[in-house]
Amino acid sequence: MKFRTSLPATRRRRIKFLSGAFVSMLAIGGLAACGSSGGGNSAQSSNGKVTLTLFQCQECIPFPWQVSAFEKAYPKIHINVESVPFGQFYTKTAVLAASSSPPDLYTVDQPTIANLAAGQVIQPLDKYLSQSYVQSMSAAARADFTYQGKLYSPGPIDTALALYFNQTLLKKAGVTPPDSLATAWTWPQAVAAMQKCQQVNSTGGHTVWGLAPTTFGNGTPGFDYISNLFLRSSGPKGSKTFASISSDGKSVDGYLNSPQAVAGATFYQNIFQKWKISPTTGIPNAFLDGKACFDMNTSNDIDTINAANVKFKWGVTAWPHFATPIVHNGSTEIAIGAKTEHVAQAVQFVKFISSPAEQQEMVTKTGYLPVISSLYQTDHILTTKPWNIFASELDQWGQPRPVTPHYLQYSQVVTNAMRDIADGSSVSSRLSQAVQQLDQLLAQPAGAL
Amino acid sequence: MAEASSADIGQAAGRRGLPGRPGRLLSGRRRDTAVTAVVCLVPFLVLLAIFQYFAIGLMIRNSLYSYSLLNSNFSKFVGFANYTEIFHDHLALQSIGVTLLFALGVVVTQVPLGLGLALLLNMRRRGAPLLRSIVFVPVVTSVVVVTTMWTFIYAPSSGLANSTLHALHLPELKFLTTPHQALPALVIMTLWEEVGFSMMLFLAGLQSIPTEFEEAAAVDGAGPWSRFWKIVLPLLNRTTVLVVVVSTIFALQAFTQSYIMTQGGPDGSTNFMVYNIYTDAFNLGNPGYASALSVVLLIIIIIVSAIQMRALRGRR
Repeated sequence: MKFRTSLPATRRRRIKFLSGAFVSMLAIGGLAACGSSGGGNSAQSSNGKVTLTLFQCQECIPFPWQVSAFEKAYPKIHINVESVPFGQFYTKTAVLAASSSPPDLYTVDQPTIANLAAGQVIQPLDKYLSQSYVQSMSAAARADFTYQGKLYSPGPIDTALALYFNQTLLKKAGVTPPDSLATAWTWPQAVAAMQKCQQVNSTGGHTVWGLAPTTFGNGTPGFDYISNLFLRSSGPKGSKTFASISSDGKSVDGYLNSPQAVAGATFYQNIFQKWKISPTTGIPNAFLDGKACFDMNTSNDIDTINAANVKFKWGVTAWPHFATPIVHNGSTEIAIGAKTEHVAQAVQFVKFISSPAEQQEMVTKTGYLPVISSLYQTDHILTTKPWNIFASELDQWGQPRPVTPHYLQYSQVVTNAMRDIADGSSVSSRLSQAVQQLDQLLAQPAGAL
Repeated sequence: MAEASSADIGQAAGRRGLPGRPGRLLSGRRRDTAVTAVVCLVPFLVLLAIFQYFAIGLMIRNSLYSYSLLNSNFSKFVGFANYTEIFHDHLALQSIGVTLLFALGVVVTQVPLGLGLALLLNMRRRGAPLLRSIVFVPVVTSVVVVTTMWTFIYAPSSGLANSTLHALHLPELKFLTTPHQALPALVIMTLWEEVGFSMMLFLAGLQSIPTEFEEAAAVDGAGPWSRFWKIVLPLLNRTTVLVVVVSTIFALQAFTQSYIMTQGGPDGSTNFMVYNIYTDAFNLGNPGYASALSVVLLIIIIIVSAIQMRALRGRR
């Protein structure tokens, strides 16, 4: 244009640059605005198709094949799945729940159901689920999903811990593990087998560990899902030690620091410090690489071991115990958001995912066990080895982790204490410290994170 | 001497800000430059204001509340209760002590080592650029990768550190699993990771010192030590202040080491303040209390930095 030619060349370039910068800023702002408008809540399109948002942890239920099957069965409903790694799962759940467009459906970690229910993030499902379905669930699963008398999830999956063993190494050591729950080892018997099987070189270094470090978290000891079983199992059924938290969920004094609990925690410490059958730091794939005789893991590991094509024979034996046999049940489950505007569609999805056929298919495809307990005795997979060990454990020994709206705090404090104990801290003083810290946290009103 | 033209005078006047047509032209150019600067800076200033200063304001406000991340109905104004609670929380007090000790350990080792490496690699020797790069590589490597690698190095029995001790017929060390060794182990790891950064800053400082000073001192008979203490070190004062303050701030904000390697243990011996804040906010469900701890951390950083700058400024 004519008038521009009257400006010096440098000014023209500057004006061009500034204009460009301004337009770019507008464009970025516009894109950001478009991006934000696209995310989030459920919607109903003009053709009547409803989109439900589902927030889940990666590699958790529902699996892509389940979502596809549901969308095929219900063409008027579309599921928009958002996933994050498990480590960020709960924090992101809290952020989304408090946002203006919370998800319609949540995948929830079973022990946090009470937290989410108390925080009014998820809604009770009693009026949507048939009584026959609710009664078909295992007692432990029902207890897991219930908070203040209301049921918040239909499951649909469950799992438990058992001891995987390297049969090749055990045969060499002359150890034969029990093959039923009736003959299950006590912990001293299990430790004796681990000591017999492990291999140590001339400098005292382990070439084969008796017990592999956990594959949960970063591989260090302490995770309460495992370690709390050492405490709880030390007490008789019905005792404070076995309960591990008061019935009102307000105190752990006398529960986590009872003499039996201290004895259980001391035994746990000896595994790492006295008998040195397991390392205090993680070793990736120790069991899969044949560097450990035993491994503490859930039924999901069956698929992992099969996929790894390990060069040894392996098997599964029931979880050892002290006074009372116990395993923690629970996995990731499905729940409906408290603020969803499409309850009917969300219920259809939840019912579809938890149907007996889907639960059975999940066993085959993923290794997760169902929550419908009748399948433990009738399903052809669950009645064969090694599945039957897990199914029987859930049926006979399954107990929920402490059902409290403060479970995250409980888990964090107990895990830290048991990790320190495994590292050599004084057992009774560390448990007392945990009890003191936890009792203060439990005094907070329900509904905190 | 040639007479100055009117244009030259005008330009000179313009440089001094005196009135005159050519001066106005330059003022216009300066105005353009200022406008360009503003346009370029505004987006970042806006982001800075939103994500730093507004966030700090929000954090201060949140520190006066007890609330839940899940449900805003549980929000309650508690005044300074979160701050008073800190004095009764032995974990918080322990985390403050541990963090200050860690910062001291890192700074006391990192500054002289960084300076030593810079002096060594400032010399024109074959391979010096390669060595500089090697020392600097950990700085640009992901902290997560570094911490994971050091977790394996410190592993009992099978780790590289204990294998070396075995080879030297020395007793095995527990490193991360015993309270007395965990913090020094993290200091060593952090030193390895960050010393390259200090070295680079010192190198830049050394290369900005005119060689004439040292040459003149050498002519006057000053030896290498004398030249270092009386010329190089005083002239590096500004760089030293920068290195000390920056490495202290980094150390006070340490998080990944705790998060990945020790989870604050054993017995809270590596429970750094930021990690403690994280667990209080996201694991123990006390975001209000965690905000109060964050404000305390901010104040500690400001005070420590101010003390360091004042103490080191005196040497200028």
